[in-house]
Amino acid sequence: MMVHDNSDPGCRPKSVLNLAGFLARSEVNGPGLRAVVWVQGCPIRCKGCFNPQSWSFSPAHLVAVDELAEQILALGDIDGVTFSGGEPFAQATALADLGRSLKREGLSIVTFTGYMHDRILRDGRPSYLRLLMMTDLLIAGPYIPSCASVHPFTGSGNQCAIVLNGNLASGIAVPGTPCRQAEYTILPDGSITVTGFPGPHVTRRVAARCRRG
Amino acid sequence: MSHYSRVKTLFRHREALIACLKNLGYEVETDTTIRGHHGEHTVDIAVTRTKGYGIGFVRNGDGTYDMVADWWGVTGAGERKIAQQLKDQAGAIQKEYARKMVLSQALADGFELVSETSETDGTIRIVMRRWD
Repeated sequence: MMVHDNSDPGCRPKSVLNLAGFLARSEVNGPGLRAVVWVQGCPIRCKGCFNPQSWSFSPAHLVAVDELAEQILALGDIDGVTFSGGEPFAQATALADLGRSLKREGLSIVTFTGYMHDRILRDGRPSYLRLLMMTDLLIAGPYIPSCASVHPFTGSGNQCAIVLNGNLASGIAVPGTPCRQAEYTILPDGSITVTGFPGPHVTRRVAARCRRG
Repeated sequence: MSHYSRVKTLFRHREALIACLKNLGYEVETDTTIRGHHGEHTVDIAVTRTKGYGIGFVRNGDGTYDMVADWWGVTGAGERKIAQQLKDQAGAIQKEYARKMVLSQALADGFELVSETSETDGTIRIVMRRWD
């Protein structure tokens, strides 16, 4: 029997992703207009993390990679896809499969990770290296709340935006003045998705305002 | 990681709700009744532009408002059309109220509006930015 590498601590088939969330279109999760895939499950669990609800590896929303690729490719008007989380490298095999399908159709891939780039390379796990190969822009490093971010696509200043393939290099210029970006997607039922890097207090205040008036 | 959270909007702010109904072009009455398939309903806020059956808002004990309309129990083709119109109007009200809440809080927190986009699937995307 051949045993394949599977970096996902859960016990699901490799062709399935465990998702914390999905947005069809976003302008604040990397250059251009992008779909965003937030995976469920993170072993790093940074203090002050924006998304502690995505730490648990328990199944949240399970979706087949082929099905998700089809859904994303049907959007038609996006420039690329961003993998966020949770920790994307904890589901590296399935995300690499998804990335390959999307890149074949000309979409770029941005991957967020709480690991440093050199640690991923040193680890050398085949699934990690496959996901790196599919990634055009890597936003790498743990979230450290005391280290203020100067980049619109990073949560804290220690994180690095590393261009792995040249086609996204022009889209990641750092503005002269640090800025925070937030995006609110209001769905037809009135529910709101908040994304980007608005700062945790801002998100809490908007959520309270929407509930409290 | 980039932030991700979902918020379910509740109608709680009476004046903001009335303002958003007026923004959508509705005439608004308070402390009145609306006509429904099953008779009249007493409501705190009523939308009066709708021909025939109406949409209203009833205040709950916890301060939130429930949107009410007779979009259930309809049988005929004409009534189904009315029910669909009411549902469409209800969706537009939900979205406009949520939009108003988001913009007012984000502006109060020092963010400026970068763009607002209405997608073909009915969602609204609002991008805000703050220079720190």
